[in-house]
This record gives sequence, structure tokens and C-alpha cells, in this order.
Amino acid sequence: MVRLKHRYIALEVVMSKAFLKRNMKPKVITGAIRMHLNNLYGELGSASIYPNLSVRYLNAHTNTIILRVRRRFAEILLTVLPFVTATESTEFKNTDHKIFFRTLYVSGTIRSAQKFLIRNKTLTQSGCRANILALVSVGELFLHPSPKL
Amino acid sequence: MDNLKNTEKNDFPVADSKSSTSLKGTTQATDASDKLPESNVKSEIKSADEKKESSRLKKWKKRMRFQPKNVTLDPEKHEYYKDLLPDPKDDTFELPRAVPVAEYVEEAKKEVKAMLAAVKQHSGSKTALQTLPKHMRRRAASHNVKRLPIRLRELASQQMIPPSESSKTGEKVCRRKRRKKLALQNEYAKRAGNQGWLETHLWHSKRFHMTENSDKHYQHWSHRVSIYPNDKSFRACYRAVAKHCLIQDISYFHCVELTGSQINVKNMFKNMIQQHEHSSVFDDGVLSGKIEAEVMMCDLTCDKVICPVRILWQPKLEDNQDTISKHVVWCWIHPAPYKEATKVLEQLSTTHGVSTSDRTGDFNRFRFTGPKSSVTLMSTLQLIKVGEDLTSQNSAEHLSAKLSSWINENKDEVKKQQQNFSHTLLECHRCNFHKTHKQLTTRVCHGAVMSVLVNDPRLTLPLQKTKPTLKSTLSQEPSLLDASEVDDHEKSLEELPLSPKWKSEILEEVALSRLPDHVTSTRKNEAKFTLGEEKTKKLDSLATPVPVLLIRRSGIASHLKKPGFEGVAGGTEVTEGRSVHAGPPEDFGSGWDLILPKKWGTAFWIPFVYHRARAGGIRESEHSHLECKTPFFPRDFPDTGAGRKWWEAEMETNLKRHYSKPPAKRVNFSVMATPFPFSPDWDHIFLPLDGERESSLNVGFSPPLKQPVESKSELVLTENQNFATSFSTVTRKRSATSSDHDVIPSKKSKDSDITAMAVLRNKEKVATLRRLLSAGDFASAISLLESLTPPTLVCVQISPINRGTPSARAMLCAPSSDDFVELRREFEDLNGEGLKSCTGPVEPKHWDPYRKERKLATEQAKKRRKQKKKDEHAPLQSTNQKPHKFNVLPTRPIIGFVTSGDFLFSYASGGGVGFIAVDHLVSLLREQVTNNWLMQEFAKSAKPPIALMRLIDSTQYRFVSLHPTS
Repeated sequence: MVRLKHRYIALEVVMSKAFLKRNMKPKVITGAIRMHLNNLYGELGSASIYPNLSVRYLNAHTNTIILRVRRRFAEILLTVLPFVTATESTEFKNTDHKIFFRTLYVSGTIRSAQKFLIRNKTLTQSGCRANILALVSVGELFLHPSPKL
Repeated sequence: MDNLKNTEKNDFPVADSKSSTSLKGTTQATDASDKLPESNVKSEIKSADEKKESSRLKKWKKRMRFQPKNVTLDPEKHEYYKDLLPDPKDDTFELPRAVPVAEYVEEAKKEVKAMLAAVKQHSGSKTALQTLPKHMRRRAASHNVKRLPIRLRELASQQMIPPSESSKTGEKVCRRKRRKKLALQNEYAKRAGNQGWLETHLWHSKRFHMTENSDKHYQHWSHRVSIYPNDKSFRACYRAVAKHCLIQDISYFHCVELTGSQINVKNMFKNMIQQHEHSSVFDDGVLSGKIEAEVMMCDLTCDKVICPVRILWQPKLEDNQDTISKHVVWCWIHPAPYKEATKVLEQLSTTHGVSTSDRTGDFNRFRFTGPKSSVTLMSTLQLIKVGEDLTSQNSAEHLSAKLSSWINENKDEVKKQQQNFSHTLLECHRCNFHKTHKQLTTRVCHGAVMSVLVNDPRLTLPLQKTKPTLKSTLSQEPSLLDASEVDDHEKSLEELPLSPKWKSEILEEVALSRLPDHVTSTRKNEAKFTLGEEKTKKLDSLATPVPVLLIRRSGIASHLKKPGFEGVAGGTEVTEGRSVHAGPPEDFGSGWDLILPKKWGTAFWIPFVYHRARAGGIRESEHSHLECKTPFFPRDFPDTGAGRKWWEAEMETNLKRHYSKPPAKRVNFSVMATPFPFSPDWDHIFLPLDGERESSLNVGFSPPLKQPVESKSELVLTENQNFATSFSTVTRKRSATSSDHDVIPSKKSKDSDITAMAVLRNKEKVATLRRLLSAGDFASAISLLESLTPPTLVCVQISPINRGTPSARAMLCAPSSDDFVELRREFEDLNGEGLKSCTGPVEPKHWDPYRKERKLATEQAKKRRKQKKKDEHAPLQSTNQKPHKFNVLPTRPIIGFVTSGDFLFSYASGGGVGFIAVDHLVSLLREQVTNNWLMQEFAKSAKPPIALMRLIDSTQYRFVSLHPTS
């Protein structure tokens, strides 16, 4: 039987302070990707990827996204992702609405992508767990602000 | 807290964990639509087919049920800072002073949990074993979990629990166990209670079409009754009635017991039975309990007929007619009008000091029809031996003590009864079949009652189905022959049908004394291998006396052919060499009714079937009544409540059938000029022929389905335009009623009319009318008819003069004078074939008044469909109007309706029963009396009054001659 094969891409969204987290919605993300697809690969590229591109998982709190594309076009998408620097549309012309994606993982099934995320999160957490817990118990935690993008 | 204080400078909104959890539900809901795959979104735009969409959505949701949900922030919670900002568009902020790590960790934890759940979830329809690659699968792993890899064991052990243990409510026993006899019996006993099963229900339900409780025709019957056999047996059942024996279970008739002194009961009957039938109820034979009377029961005012009732008095030995002694009377009532009838009975009984009780379940009543029913009864019902002392002879425990003591007390009576039984049956049989006896009329009158004690008929059940003949029965039971030679016939007939049946405590014991089927059959089999006396002894030990009552029924139409009724129109005198197609013989439909105690139904039923009695249902009795062209209850009793209900149900089913077809495949009754195709409208025929009729023909609409109020008012308006303005009053009335969702707009007026409507049921009057008409004395017939108080209907037999088969709902119309001219021309045409070439007139095609409306409606529907595409939320609308009547009058005015009709085997032509208004009958007669040719020449072939009949879906009129009947 012929099966549609996909690639699942786990991303981390890094955003400027003004790109408010409330804007993090599947359509905004795919819109941003589409804009850059059009620029880089033209009509053909966007037409081949965009209809099959979907956000399978999105978490605004942890800035994690899992995208899905057809396997044939996964590489194209992967090349596009680094170029995404801002969200689409006139609404966000403000320079501060800038984002970029950190590609974390590419897998053949959503299951392995999920497995990766578990590993990723638990590792990072356990790494700083001791510190965080100590600080949380104190009540407040001050960190150095991230450099302006 | 500092964190909160600094919020104005913090552009990373602090996630409030509590609020986020509480709002999770709403966010998830919005996400579901976002998450839809693209193809799905497209289809949503393309096709408005919601069903398909919803199924796809369901599938999608099912697939995604274990996947972690998207987590987004809700804007309201996170836009609070905007108000705090000096300028929302200003993008120069200070850098964040704090990062809410705790919240981040909390959220990350949640995410990981969700992911873990998704990863662990075993998705899809595969079992644990199937998730393994093929080369790792082991057959033994299907029942031993330890053969599987560890990671799958938990899953596999979950899956291996059989479903019965996991869900205890849906415990399922295997079919084989369920179908075991005991389990089945328990199951059936459970079901029988609430469904109203008769004792023979199981036997019938395997072989017959049964009445449905949902069917409006039989809704109020409280029993499920067999309608007709499944096998191809329409003609076979007719043959059984005409030549052999048909058996029907009519235990569904309700039996009401009245207890009181004779005078009180008599007074009660006086109030519920019409004057002209008093003689048949208060006959000496009936009062002494020798004859079961059949009369029409009326309501308290004696105006409105309710239903036919069979009345049976308990015979009393003491001949005192005084007031003190209690008398018991059984009234057998048809189930359809039962509620109505009991209401009347209860009201009357309280005023007359009579107690009533329902004894429906206590008896079985089987009906035997056909000339061979006597011999079937004779061979099946074996008389119990009362010569010796019953109790001492067999010490069987199953015998009821009270019954045997009763037998011992009344030994002589029982013996006489048995003699009487065999003698009467023999006589009835010989009257039918023996040449020497054929000329004799039986002395056994209609309703004669016999009581007899018989043995359990299962003991003499033949191994194979055998046809009973008189010879074989007599050779088996020589005692019968002795009885036949008893001289004192007259004496035996005088015997009172005393029966232990009247005592309810004996009846209870008799019901209990029935041996189970397996006991009788095994012991019978044992007795097969023993000889002589042993055998008889063994069978005697099983013998169980059962008191039964036999009630004679003479032919269905016999009351019309009594002396004084002779010379039935149609020219069919009963003679030796009568034609085969001259109608049913006088004793058509004669037979016996057998009343059995309860629980004995199947024990008697199956032996009768083994004696080649053909089983029939309601259809058979309906059709045998039709063969005699006599009205059948409740179908041909439109003036009674039950009849009205029947025709309402008929209307509903016919409407449903008609409107279930696509519009292009429906018969257009407007073009045919059939105003009442679904059920006869009796109001209409009472209207005078001109003027008023047209205005009365308003159109009834079924309640509009899903129809908005505005469009309904539109419809009414369009009607107003279509019909002439002179009908405005009527339409106004209709619009008022139709807004009340009334099914039949003129319902109220109809009810009042039907209460006033009466049918000529006085048997004497009908008889004289028949006599006068057949003798050609039309003047006195007219005067008799005119003496009746209108509005009255007359029940008429319909016989087409040459061709045509009446069917229910067909119209009886008055012929115009031109029609007779044409008839004469065709009849006297030398090139034609006389009567054979007489066709009837043809109704011309009419203009369909609904045509415009219908076209408008379809256009509107089209428009709406277009609108619907644009606006999905527009309410669903339908313009289907389903008129109950059609607003077109035929050229020949309708004067009556056929209520039942079919092809009749005994006439080899069509025939039916219908009703005609008296006024119209009189005018028909008046007109035809003046026509000399019709009265003198044509009367040889078909006797007046002659009318026209037209089927609902035909434009061809047929000439029919009418004969009054009751």
C-alpha cells in the first residue's frame, strides 16, 4: 500500500521581546514560513510545501513547535527555516516582531519527535534543576537579560 | 511581590498557572479547528455537505485523541500590560528585569507529561503482538504474555482480558445456551407479559404476519394477532372455508363477565341494545343459556352503535326466574372498541347493580369455519370416559379434585351432553355431505351452545398430518355411532349446556392440570410398544378431562336468506344445479366456536392443525365476509368509533404511501377528479348535490414540516387567489385551523356529523327492503327509505353488471340520464355482445388547481437552495404541502363509497360492500323507475338500483347494481 510519508520537525521559536507570545498561533507560524518560501523558492516552492505544511504541536509557554511536511519537500523546508526572521503581514511590520527558528530535530514519525522533546526537556531541566529549585524556593530569580536581537 | 510590581516594565507576561488551567478548555476548542488538515479546510469551503464533514472531523478527532493539545496564551490575560504602557506603539522598552523560570518549568513539566502520555499510548487497532515485526511474532504469545518482549507485556495483558470480564453489564451468553428450550421459555414468558401474546403466539409468529403495535390499525387491540399466513395461501384459505376447515385463534376478543340478578342484567341490556334487537337478546333460548346471541351494542342513548357483542348466559338448573339468584353473563367484545364498550358497561352496571369483571385471559376461543369443521372437531375432541368412577380409576395427581367431584355429581348430565355432542356434530356433517340429509336444514340454530368434557387431544395426536373423515372417526370411536342412533334427538337438544367452566375455581384447577408437553409425548411413546389393555391403561393414566364449550355459527349471510328473505337479487336462487359462480352457498362461513380454558391453547391448537385444519388470520375472516358481501367489523362500520379509527389509520398509511413517492410518480388525483383518495369522506355525500358541495371542498393540509410561519401564511394566500372569492369564508376558517396545526381542518364538524350519522341496521327493515326491491315494488321501497331519519347511510352489496372490481375507497356515483341512453345503445347494438359490451362512461381530465402552486413551490425551493449556499445558518425549509383532499369534483356526483371490495371467488367476479346515503338512493330509484327500458328489459340482466362506480386511480366508470344488506 502506498503511504504518504512525512517528516516531523521539532523547532524552538526564539522571539524578540515584542513578538508577544500571544501571537504564537499555528497560522502565524505557517504564514511566516510561507512568506520566506515565496522569496526563496518562488511559486513552485510555496505551492509544493504550503498545502502540506501543518503545525502538529505548538506550545506558547515553552516555545516548542512540531511541524509536518511531506518527506519529498522536507529538505526545502529545512533550508527555508533559517531564513525566517520575522512574521508575515503588515500587522507585524514593526521591527520588533522578529522571530527565528532553531531546528532541534527531524524525524520520520511524530512519536520519535515527541520522544526527542521529552529527552530534550528533561535533560535541560535536570541540568539546571538544582539551581532553579534553590532559587524558586527563595522566591525570585533574576537572570541576565538576553541580548537584544 | 516584586514580580507583580514590576509588570509595567516586564514585556514577558507572567503566566498565571491557575488561570491558564481554567481557560485551557476554551483554547483547546479553538485549536481543534486550527489543527484541521488543509484538505479538510478546503472541503469545508467547497461542499456544504455537513454530514461528510462531520464524519471526517470525527475521524480526525479520533485519530488525534491521544496527541498532546496545542498550548496558546489567551489574549485577554496577556494584554493587560498594554494599558500600562505609555504608548502601545512605542517599541523602546527597558530590557526585562526578570525571567519567570518557575512558570516556565511548570509549563515544561506539563508538556513533557503530555508527550510521555502520547508516546506511551498504544494507538491504532493493532494488538500488542501485531506491533512486532513479523519475524518476531510467536503464535504462543497470543495466550502467554511472557513470550512477548517486556515493553509490550503490560499492553498485551490489558488486551488479553476478555471483554465479558471487563464490562460486567454487557454479559453475553453464547447463542447455543440462549437458544436452549428452558432459556427460551423463560425469555418468552418474560416477553409475553408486556406484549399481549396469545397462547398460540409463538406458533403463529413463526408462520404468520403479525399485527404490529406501531400499526395504527391495531394499536388499541392490546394483543398481537395474526393477520395472514406467510405461505402462498390466499386461495387455499378460501378453499378451506368453502370446502374444508379453517381454524382461527380469536382469543383476542375480550370477555367481560357480568354478574347480577336476571332482571337487573336484562334492564342493563335494554339500555345498551336497540329496540329492534331486543327480541333476539331476550329470547328464551338465550336467557336459559342454550344460545349465544349476537347483537349490536350501543351507547347510553341507544343512538350510536359501538360494536357487535356476543352474549352468553350461564345456564341455571333451577328454573326460578326470580330476582334473588345471581346470574352470570359473558359478553365477548372486539378489542378495537373495547375501551369504549367497557365505559358503557361500567356506567350501566353501577346504575343497575351488576358487577363486571374482565375475564379475557381465562379463555381461549378458536373459530372453525367450513363444512368439514364438524368432522374435524369430532375426530380431535375425544370424549372422556365417565362410565367408571374417574377418581378411583386413575390416581394421577394432575387431575383436579374439584372437577372430578363435579363430574361425579353430574354424571348423567355429562353423559347426555356427550351423546348430544356426537349426535349434533354428526348431524351437522351429514347435512353438508350426505345426499339424503342435504335437503334438511339443521335444527342446530345459529349460536347454539354445547358443553362437553373432552380428553387431552395430544394423546390422540396423529404422527403425520391426516385428513379426518367420518368413516375413520367412526371406526375409531364406535361409541359415536351408538350416539348417532339414539332416537331421542329432540330430548338431547333440550339439554342445558351445563358446564364446570362457569366456576372459576374449577377453571383454575383445570388450567393447572395441564401436563407439560414432554410428559405426554414421552409416555405416549412408551405406550406405543405396549399392547392391548396395557396400552389403554397407560394412556388412561394421562387422560385429563377438559371442559369445553362449542358454539354453532351458521353461514355469514344466512340471516339474509332466512324465509321471508328469499329471492335475493342477482337471480341466484338456491337450487340443486346451481351455478358454481352464483355466489357463496347459504352456509358459507358456517362452523363452530370452541371455548377452552386458559393454558390449554396450544394443547388443542396443534392437534387441530395435525387434523388438517388450515390456520388463518384476520384476513381470512375479512375475506369470507366479503365473499358473502356482508360488512366486517370494524372496517365496514364507519359510524362506530372503532370504524372511524380504522379509517383514520387507513388515511394515514395511504397518505404516507402516496407522498413517499417522488412527485412525478404520484397519481395526480386532481386530474383524475378523485377528491377523497385516502379515505372516504362521509360528510361530503350528505351534502345536497349542487352548490354547497363545491364550497365545502376545502383542502386539508398536513401539518407543515419544518415550515416557517411566514411561508405558511403565503400558502394560504395563494389558495385564496386560486379558489374563487366566494369561498373566502371557508378559507378563512381553514387558515385559522391550519395555524393551530390541525391535521384535518374540518375535524370538529366531522365528529359532530358522525355522531349524527347512522347506518340502517334494523334487520327487519333491511329484509323488507330487499324483498321489495327484488319483487320490483319500488314505490313502497322508496316510501320505506324516506321514512328513515336522515342523515342515514345504507349498507349495500356492490355487484358490477359485467366488468370491474371494486376496491376500498372507490366512489359510488349517480349516473346521468345520458349514461343510460348510452348504456341502452351499447346493450342493444346488434354488432355488440349485449351486456358484455356495455362499458361505462369515462371521466374527462380535469385542470389541476395545485399546478400553479406546485411550480411556485419548486421555484422557491430552488431559490432557497441557492440562498442556503450563501448563508449556511438559514433554517431548513420545505414547501411540501400534502393535501388530504383534492379540490376537484367529478362530473358524476359522489353518492357513496366502497369500504371493502375485491375479486370474489364464489362469484368469479368483483364484488364489495359500500355505503350510500339514503337520499341519494331514493333519488336513484326515483329516476330509474321512470326509465321503462331499464325497469323491463335491462332488469333481466341487472336489477336496479344501478349506480356508477369508479376506482380512485381510474377515470373509467363501471355500472354496478346495489342491494341493501346489513
